[in-house]
Amino acid sequence: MSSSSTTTTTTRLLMLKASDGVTFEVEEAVATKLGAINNMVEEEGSEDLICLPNVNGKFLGMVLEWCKKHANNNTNSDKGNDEVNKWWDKEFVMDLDQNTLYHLLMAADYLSGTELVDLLTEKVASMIRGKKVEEIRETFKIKSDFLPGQEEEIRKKNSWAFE
Amino acid sequence: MALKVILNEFFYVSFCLIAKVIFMKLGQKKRSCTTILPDDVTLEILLRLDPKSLMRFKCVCKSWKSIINHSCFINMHLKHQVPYTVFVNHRCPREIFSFGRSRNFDKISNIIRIPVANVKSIEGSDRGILCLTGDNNAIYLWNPAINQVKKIPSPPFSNSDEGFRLGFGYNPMTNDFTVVGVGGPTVRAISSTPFSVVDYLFTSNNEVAIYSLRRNSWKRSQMPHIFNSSDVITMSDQIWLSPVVSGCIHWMLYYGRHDWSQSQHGIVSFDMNTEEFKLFDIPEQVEKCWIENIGKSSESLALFTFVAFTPSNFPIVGIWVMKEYGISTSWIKQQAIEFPGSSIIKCPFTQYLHFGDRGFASDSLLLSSANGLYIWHIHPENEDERIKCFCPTMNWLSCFPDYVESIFQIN
Repeated sequence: MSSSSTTTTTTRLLMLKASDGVTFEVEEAVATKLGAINNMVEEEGSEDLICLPNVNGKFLGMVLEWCKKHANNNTNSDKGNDEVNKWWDKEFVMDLDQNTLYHLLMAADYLSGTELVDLLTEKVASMIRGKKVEEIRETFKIKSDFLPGQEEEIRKKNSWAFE
Repeated sequence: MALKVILNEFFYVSFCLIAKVIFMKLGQKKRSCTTILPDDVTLEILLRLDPKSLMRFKCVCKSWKSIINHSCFINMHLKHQVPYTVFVNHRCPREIFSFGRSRNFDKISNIIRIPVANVKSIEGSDRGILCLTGDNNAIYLWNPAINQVKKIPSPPFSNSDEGFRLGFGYNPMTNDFTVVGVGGPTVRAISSTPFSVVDYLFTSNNEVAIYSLRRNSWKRSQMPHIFNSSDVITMSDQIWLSPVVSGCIHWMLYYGRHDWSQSQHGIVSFDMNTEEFKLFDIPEQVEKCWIENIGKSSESLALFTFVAFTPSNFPIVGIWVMKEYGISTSWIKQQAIEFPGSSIIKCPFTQYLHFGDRGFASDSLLLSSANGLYIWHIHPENEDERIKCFCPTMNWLSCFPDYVESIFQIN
């Protein structure tokens, strides 16, 4: 196993295996930004190959890309770091289509990438603010389970919110 | 402080559990009614929505409705909101407004009409709810973010001709809103100002009435003995805010002899949980200063003082905080800000000062005077930007520095 050429310290590399068999070689410091991987490393110690049966390669790759960027940015202790991260986060979520966004969100949630979940939920929230109830049901594939009349009652009570 | 963090953590974990139980109870499938996202993710999304959207999304399905109505969700949602300062012209309160989040406060935004005719004043603000008084001493609670207003019953004072002073706040122990009224005063006007003062408030045995929003009723009580019986207690009617710190509502007043110059300052607190009144001393050094206001600074009780005549001839604004809540000996001077050669200090009616740590940039001070509102940057990018007058046409403004939009229901 080769050590990273850009840093002088030898960092341990982990092998992450997605549900579809795709593997990623990542530095431990990057992968442990994800709470789930951090736990596995701490509990299982020397294991270098980690199988992640609930995430497929495409989304695991995206999650890791985000981790890498944040790990790199955080190594230079610049003041403008927060700004760089914010700018990069904005770029990262800007062009995600709905389907990718949801899968990525589920992957981040499964891997306990708290900061990434925050970023993605904020993105979803910004997309659904001001939407109609029917649009929300369609977006989230939700079927109304109210009895006839119940929904009208809630609408009447909160009629201002529908203006 | 550490306890606070632990409690917050505990609060969050228990909230997630409760939310999960609600989802499980209501949902037939593992993922309740939301089929594409796990419940904890759905929660995180809902927590980031604005009040109006949430009121509408109660219609989506049963589990969304239960979550949005849940008191834990309401409190968590509040923590996701960014506080800002709302203003009201207290000589003619018809609307509240804010200046968005711009550093220069150059654009008024968010004007919301107060949905009550003939509002007299805003008595208090906590967790997004404002307490208003209108004609004939009618009292209203108003949540502008979800467009709900409620006229609450009149306080049960035996002599309705007498005035009363109100305080308003949220009691986290009971998850309830409290209005407290202290009655029995006489009101007199101070000539040449729009203000009046109230005498003999908080004198022992005065009538006290305590309202609970949850019960929607008042209960009667009596003012305990916290002053000497010979003390004259005087309170300016509209200048002071009554900030809520540590579950207690606070009022600033003078007590002692009838002559103002012979009186000293004091702060009366009312604990919403134990319903006890207490008198706090203010730091000795502050007695010599003119106290502009009481308020909050990072969740501590704060005093804003003003000394016009200093050795350097520059007026000084001081900010004092009570480091350990309830301990009168723990007052410390947090900031002293000199105002070299600025003109606002010549204006006699600087009503209040606010040292922003929430609704404002952390290094700025807000001043309201008869010639407008001013923002003072302690660390400006360049000297020209140190002081900025905004809204020179607006005077007699009151401000509520940590207003947050909330989804607390009042109806």
